[in-house]
Amino acid sequence: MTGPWRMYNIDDFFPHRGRMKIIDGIVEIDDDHCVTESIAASLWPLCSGVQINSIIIVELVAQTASIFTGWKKRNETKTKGEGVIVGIKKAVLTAPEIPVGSRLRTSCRIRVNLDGQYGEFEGEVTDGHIQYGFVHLQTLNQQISLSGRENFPSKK
Amino acid sequence: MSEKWIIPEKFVPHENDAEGHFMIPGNSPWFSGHFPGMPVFPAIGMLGLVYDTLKEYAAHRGIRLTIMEMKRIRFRQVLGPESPFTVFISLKNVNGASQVFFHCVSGDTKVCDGILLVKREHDGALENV
Repeated sequence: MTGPWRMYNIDDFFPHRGRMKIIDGIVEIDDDHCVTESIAASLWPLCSGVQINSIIIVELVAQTASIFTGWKKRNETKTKGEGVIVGIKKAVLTAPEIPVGSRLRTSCRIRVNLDGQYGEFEGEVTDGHIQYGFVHLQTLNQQISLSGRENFPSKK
Repeated sequence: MSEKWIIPEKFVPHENDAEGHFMIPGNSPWFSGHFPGMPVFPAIGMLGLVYDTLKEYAAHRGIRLTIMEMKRIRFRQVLGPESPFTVFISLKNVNGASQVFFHCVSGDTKVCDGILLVKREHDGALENV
């Protein structure tokens, strides 16, 4: 088998690991968009047994955006997507829950990119039959600090 | 089997608003791989605790609520393990739509805020609260 799924080790592109890694592989990727695949698992966050709350689509789009960013920076020294989510402009949930075992495709494209520091991404999640929702999120590339600094300073 | 990633310490319901009080333990699965060497409580974890508070509030009122949309959510502060986390939600009817305004604090620091559009599940249909 060839294609992006086998061509790339996604761990090279984003920092998520362990139980918080919910993307299994890349299905399509180019300069304009990225599509990833995941099998919804009972070990995922927000799982209540056999269903996962569909607000998980925010994390699916965020991790796909992180992979996309890391892939675009793949020729730079630091390749992993380092953006943290600082906002959700809008997320529409079109189904309340996602069944465990669903094969999910998450597509993502960049809507705004300001010097690689501030980004806005749009994405949606589907299993091929059901669209689970749409997310428009905002990310900021920064050194993560737990010291009390605001992520998203208020407008003056 | 259902697994609770964070157990609420206290839930305080009122007629149209509620508070959920949590302590984020260092051994929570939310920190599993998020991120190696730099444990950060994820934004989706914060939304999960907002949802838990909303679910408790709905149960207190004897109704079921479904989140239809989330908007204008800002994550203002990064949190690590062993942080206190308090969710405040307030249900309002705005232009005919049921909206839940929420904000979350850790100690005195505002961590995140935003709006959820919700519907009540009633006889298999969704309606405003």
